[in-house]
Amino acid sequence: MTVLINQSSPTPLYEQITAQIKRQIIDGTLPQGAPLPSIRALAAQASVSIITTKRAYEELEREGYIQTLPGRGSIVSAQNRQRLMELHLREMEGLLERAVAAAKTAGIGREELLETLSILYGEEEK
Amino acid sequence: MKQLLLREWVQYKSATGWSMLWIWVIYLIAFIIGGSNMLFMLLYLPVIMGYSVMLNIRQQGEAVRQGSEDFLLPVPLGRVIRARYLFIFGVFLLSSVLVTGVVAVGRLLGDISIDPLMVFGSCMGINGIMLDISMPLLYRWGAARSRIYMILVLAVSASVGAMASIMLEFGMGQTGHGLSANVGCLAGAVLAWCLSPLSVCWTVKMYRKGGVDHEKKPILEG
Amino acid sequence: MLAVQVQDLKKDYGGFVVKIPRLELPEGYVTGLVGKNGSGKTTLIRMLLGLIPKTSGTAKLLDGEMGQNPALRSQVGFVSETPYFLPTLTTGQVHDTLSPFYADWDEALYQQMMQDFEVPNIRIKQLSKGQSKIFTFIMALCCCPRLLILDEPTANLDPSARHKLIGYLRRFMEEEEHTVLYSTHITGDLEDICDYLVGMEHGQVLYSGEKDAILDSYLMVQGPVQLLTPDTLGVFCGVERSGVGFTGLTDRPEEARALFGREAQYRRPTIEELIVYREGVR
Repeated sequence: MTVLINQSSPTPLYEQITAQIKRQIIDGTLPQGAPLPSIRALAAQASVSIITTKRAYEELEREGYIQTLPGRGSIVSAQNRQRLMELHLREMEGLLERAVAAAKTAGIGREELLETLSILYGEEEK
Repeated sequence: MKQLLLREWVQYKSATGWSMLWIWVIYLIAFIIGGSNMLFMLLYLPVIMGYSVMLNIRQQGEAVRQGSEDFLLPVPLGRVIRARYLFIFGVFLLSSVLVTGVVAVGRLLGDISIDPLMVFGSCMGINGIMLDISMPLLYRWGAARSRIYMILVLAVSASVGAMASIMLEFGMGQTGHGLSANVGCLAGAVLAWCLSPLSVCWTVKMYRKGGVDHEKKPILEG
Repeated sequence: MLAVQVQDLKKDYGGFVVKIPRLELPEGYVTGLVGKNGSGKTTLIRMLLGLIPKTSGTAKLLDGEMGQNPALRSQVGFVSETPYFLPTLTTGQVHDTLSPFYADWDEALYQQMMQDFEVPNIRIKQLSKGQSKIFTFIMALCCCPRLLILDEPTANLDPSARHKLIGYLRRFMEEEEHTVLYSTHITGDLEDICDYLVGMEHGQVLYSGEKDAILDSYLMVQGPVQLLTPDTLGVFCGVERSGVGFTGLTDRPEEARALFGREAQYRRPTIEELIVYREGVR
């Protein structure tokens, strides 16, 4: 697991942590059932306060990404990866629908839309 | 207790260093030159020695700074202080025995006519009284402020010393009284040291009351 | 469990009074104690440790009062502002005389830290200020305390030693029941490590609570000087004006946002800014 904290970013520290762990769960870097470092270990390694990591873990747990087993620490939730993927797909479809609608209103063609999309996607990749 | 005594010894050794040995060398040289007329030296030097035990540690190390360690050790404060008394007693005993030994040798050689037991009794007596009084003062006000009181205590012990000297002179003249003076000195020493547990209690109480904040000034830094 | 529990604590020095009606700090977290010189931080710490007698009230650490509970003292480590070891002792002698008193003494950690910080075996008075601070820290940490109280531990330290010290502190905090109370002026050390914050001023606790919650209840506002009018000035705790704009701290974020709208920039204050502007620079 990799967590890189940017102290000067305006994004709150705990959101930086949740976003990075979420991404690694979704892209499979963190497989189902994989153990996560303890709250205290992560705080020490990522140079953030204990409360910050605690908050991040609580948020991840509430959203179903991870689960905490008493005495065994936190692991990546087993059953939810599929569901999470679906959630993300649905969110993406919704946004794309709006993009298509906007394109149609402005009379932008399908080719041009796809081209814009691939440019945007490419930029994001970087 | 062993650890506490060891700690006292290491602290004492590092604070006094070799200066203690030099005091003894000078003392012996003065004794050899001056001979039996050095009554004052007989009594005064052990007092100085004992005084240095108490003050060297605390004064050099700034009582305020020193105190923290006494307070923070995971041992009751009373035990720390008891160990300190015990250690000081040991040093006093050693110096008194040494002085008594010098006198005894002098007597064997026929240079001195004083009873070594009397020397021993008066040395221990004066040191005991001084310790009993000065320790609580030291821990209530710290080295800096209690120095004034110390001078007073020194004056008292000096006068007691003078009285003992007079008694010694008296004892030398009349052998009949010599025995009672002898017993008197020893009894005084025993009494002074029997009272020391009381002094320990008093010191602990004073130490707690003053804390490490001897100068009674707010610690404003921080 | 609470690591620190203070009730009606008072120290009266005549001219200077430290008075804390109530202060509770949880176990298992790092608490930063901040405030300017003379705000009473050191006095509070000394009372907590039982080093100075309190005028009235109670000051409990973990499960008891330090002054009355010798067993408790092996569970509390203290790094004082000025090291309290006898100056004529060598570092080795200090180690030899103190370590036997602690059942949980961590000799391996001691050796490692002495090597890591390159503390030589010479008399305490011959050590540099930074070295003797480091040495006090090493002695306190190797007693394996549950509660570590640090009074200005990083003053006089070079950046690399400071970084190392914070690293050891983080490792210490990996144990669940470990607590740190950290008093400092160098607030940069606290920005990312501390969970709770206690601010003192004139012998009183000004604010205490979760660091993020405290910082979130304030807002830094920056904008052109024209925005400052007698009407808008009241919203700030402290403002600093310069030729090219103003910077101010407000404890009423919503009001300030409504007042200045898009003409000003907003951000969360750092601990340092909180201390500086809370004073009321005008």
